[in-house]
Amino acid sequence: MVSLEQFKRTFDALFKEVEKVIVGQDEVIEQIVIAMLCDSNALLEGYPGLAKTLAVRTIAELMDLEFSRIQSTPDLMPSDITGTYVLQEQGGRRVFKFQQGPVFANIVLADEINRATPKTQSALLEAMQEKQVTVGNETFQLDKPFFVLATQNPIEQEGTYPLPEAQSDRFLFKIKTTYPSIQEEEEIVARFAEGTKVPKLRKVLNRDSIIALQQYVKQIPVSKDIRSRAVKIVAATRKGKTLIEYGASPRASIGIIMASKARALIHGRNHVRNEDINAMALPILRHRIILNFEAERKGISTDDAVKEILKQIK
Amino acid sequence: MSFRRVVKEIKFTFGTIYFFFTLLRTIIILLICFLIITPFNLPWYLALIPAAVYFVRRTRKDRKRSPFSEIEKKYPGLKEKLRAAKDNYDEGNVFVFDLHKEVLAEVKRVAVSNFFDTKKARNDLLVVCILCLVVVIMAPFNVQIFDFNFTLDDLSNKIQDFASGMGNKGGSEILGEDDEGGLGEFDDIFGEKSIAVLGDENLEIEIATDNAELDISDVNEAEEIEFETLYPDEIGATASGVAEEYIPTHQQEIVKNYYKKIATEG
Repeated sequence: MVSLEQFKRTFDALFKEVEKVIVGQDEVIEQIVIAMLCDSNALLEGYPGLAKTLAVRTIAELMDLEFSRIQSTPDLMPSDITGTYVLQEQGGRRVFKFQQGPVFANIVLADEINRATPKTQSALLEAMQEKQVTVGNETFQLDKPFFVLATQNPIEQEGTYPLPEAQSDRFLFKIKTTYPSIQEEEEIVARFAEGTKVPKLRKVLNRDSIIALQQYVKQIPVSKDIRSRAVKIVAATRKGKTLIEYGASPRASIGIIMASKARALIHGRNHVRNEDINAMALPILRHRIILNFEAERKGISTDDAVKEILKQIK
Repeated sequence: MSFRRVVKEIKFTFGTIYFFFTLLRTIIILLICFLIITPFNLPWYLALIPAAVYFVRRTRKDRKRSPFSEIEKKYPGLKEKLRAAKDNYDEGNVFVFDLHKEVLAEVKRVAVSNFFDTKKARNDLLVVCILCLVVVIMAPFNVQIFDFNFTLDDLSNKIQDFASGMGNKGGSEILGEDDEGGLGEFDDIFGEKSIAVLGDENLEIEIATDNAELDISDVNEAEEIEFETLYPDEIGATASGVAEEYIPTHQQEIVKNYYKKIATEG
């Protein structure tokens, strides 16, 4: 029988390994792992050069998962992601054979997803939601586990195709990567500009253990009061019209509870606490709510609006 | 001890505590209402209404209270754990078992006395005692500020009078007279019955018991009072005239001598 101590030791080891490559960004790493444990996807938003791609690549390596990267550009076609039929010679005959695209991996990093056209974004989003790809008349199931970690740049919005609300709702989290502190940046410089040693990473998890962990996450008990609070928080985004024009869907309520359970497991707890709800509300709600003109005029961000709701609903 | 039993025990203990305080407060409200309505000569059982309303509302509120969150507040070690364990005790997985084990170990340290507010209980009991004392002291004085009973009776009589008056043809017919000055076909020889209502009223006389007691020890010896002091000065006897009998002088002399003779001889 597995114990909570074992879970905690596993995750501590995972984060320790990540620290060998990534300096700081603890919260970002934790949220990426939580999204994986919830069998969901995450959208990473941050300025260039903040180790978004490196973080995802490192996690994939530590989890012994197949990793692929798609660099989104306006001329990227859906078939460039999903794959296409190619003509091949087989026994003297020419036959169409399906050539798998980069989406056939366990972790797919869609870099600068907002640079791809809506048609290409949709192809990726079908894979995210249904865990399958349809090419022509054929549907291909994707391997388990399957995660899409998309990144987008908050600046340089010219020539981009912002994700529609319905599509961004499919990402469990919108993770914001921030600049490192001075000390962290000094450490980054020392490690990458002066260091010669390439850190050797130890594989902490594998496919089967990740699938098992996903099942364990669902079993973490949560009290009715905490569940009710999570629902109230999401409902408040729909009711309160003072700052918010459009609120989050019930998918956000499910997301908050699932993510809180995963966070509790990572922290070696056998129950969900209110602090988990508070910590998960921000990345889950920030891309699901649309502020009204008044809030934008006052310079209020979605994070401020969510924090206000969290203050009100205790 | 099973976790299910612990949950049952917590619910029962807290339910008893809540009920005790609700009952105390209900008694206080009952006594206050009784003291308020007594000077208005209203029936005592009217005091039960606000007390019953309070009892029902408070009981409903108490049922919504969660003893588990109260325990969590007092015992930070059980914070959010106890409720999670309680809400998931039917689940049978590794985390729930672990949680139950943890909670059972910590719940042993929970003392019920921490949740019984002795200060509140003492104050409430003191208020009940004071109110009871006030009721006992006030009883013999029979304080009445306003007689609602009489006013209500009076009002109902007036309404009856008005209603019966409306049924008659006109004001002159109240006395049972018709236009010609005699009795009508359906008139009573004693006149309009509604006028005689007052005669049917029972005269209720209440003797205040405190003033009706005779204290024998208060009876003293009768005081001697001079009559003159009581007799007013302005009242006196005066002659209105002199009545004289005319007797000739020689006859007066004869009579005078006669009496002298008798005096000397006899």
